[in-house]
Amino acid sequence: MLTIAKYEAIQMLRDPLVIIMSTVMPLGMAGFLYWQIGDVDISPVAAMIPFIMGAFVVYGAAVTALASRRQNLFLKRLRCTAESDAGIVLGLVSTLVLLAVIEAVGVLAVFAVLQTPPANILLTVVVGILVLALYVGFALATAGFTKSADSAQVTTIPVAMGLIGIATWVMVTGTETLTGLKLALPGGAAVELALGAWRGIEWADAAIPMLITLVWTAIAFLAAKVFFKWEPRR
Amino acid sequence: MASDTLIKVRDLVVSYGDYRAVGGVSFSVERGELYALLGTNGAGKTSTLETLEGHRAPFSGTVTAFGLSPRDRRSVRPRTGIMLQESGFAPTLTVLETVKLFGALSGRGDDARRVVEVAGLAEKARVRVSQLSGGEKRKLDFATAIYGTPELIFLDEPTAGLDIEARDQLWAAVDVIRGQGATVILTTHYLEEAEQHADRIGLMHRGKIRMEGSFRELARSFPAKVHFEAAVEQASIPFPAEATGPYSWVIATDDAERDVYELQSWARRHEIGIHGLAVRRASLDDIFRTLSR
Repeated sequence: MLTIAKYEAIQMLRDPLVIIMSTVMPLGMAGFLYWQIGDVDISPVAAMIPFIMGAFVVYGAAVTALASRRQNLFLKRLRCTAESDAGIVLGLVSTLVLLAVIEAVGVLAVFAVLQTPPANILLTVVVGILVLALYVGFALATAGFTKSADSAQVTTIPVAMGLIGIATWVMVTGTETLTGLKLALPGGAAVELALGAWRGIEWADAAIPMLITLVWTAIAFLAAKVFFKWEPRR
Repeated sequence: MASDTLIKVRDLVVSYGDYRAVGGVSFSVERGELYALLGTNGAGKTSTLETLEGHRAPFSGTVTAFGLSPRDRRSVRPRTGIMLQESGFAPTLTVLETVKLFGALSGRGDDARRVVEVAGLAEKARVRVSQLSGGEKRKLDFATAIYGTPELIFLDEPTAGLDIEARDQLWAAVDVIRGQGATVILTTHYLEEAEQHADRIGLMHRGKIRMEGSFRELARSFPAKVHFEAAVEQASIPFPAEATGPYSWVIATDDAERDVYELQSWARRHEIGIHGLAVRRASLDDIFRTLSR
């Protein structure tokens, strides 16, 4: 798994477009949000950071990489080795996840210095991990029906836009109205948790959103198990 | 001496939906053998090979490698090298990096530089895969398969796209590995390679193995051909002869020695001059054509 991750990192460093897409885009968006609303209250911007990193650094790049590596039979070749399927998948996505974590930690650290740090750091970390895991699960599932790197530009739109859209909607309108719907939608409970973690939610109040987020993460990985394919369709 | 069977295939059926690619194939491969699986396009040899490699589950029947399921990757793959029919490499990695990557994942130890040299890619070690020709990618494929000298090596069309020199180099490398005890399972479209290198050949057609044996055994079951030139009429020749040109004849025979003796006796009796007498055994090409008709 670590060997695959190492060589994925080498490949990433040799592709300027991937570097730009996975650093300039998400960091630029984080900066834009901070510039727009961050000076009033940092918590909504901070709550969006895991979603921005998940969508731009992990999800889109992972779907593109997996589809392209399946199409050129790189995945099949990896399965010719003694590495397990789980090890191969982890190796392929871990570089992206690590990059997302580094960027998210960096941005949140800057926010904490410029404004206020999160009231519940542990919960912030847990939510961040869950959101990234949610995107990884959806990436594997989406890659299953994405034929090529080119078609990833289309197939990634629903989940990428959907999750960010839901998170933005819940963040902007709050959960006082349509509470059940907002929490039940994928990412809705997670952004509620992220907001709470920054503002200081009690662990007891975090239980239900946490449970819903866990359920969505499980659904994403179940979808990945069902839809993910190792070889191009014959 | 007890037999040491590495691969056992019994009544293997491989299906894709309603299409049955392999329809009940049985064979075994002994340790140290080079077994060639040959067949027409769509005969089912790649499906059979991929099942042996563990990429595909049988629809029915059993397949074992080293007595284990080929899908038990953790146990089987460290002992197995696989050269796929098509390359699947990361274009931005170099040749050496690619061999190091797949070598590290193979579960076997070796020196990546040595393997690159054996595969004939020493001068391309630092070149990116995207800059390799098709033949060089086949060599890279071969390098990843032989890393760590596995006990069992699958070679799927290993010399497709290679020039003569590269083919000879690859077969020399295979001979060295076989000398170290490796077992090889081969598919190829170059029938002369199977003739020269295979201990046994399985001829597949429409999802089944139609014939199996060493090349000599296969050739024995097909008639040899006696070619000669004689200024005679067809009707006067004491065998059913086919004209291949003006006064050029060919006779199909199951016993070339006997029939050549009789032909020469007949010629002496009638004072007929025979020229260009030659006996040609059935080639794998002939067998293959007969099988696919």
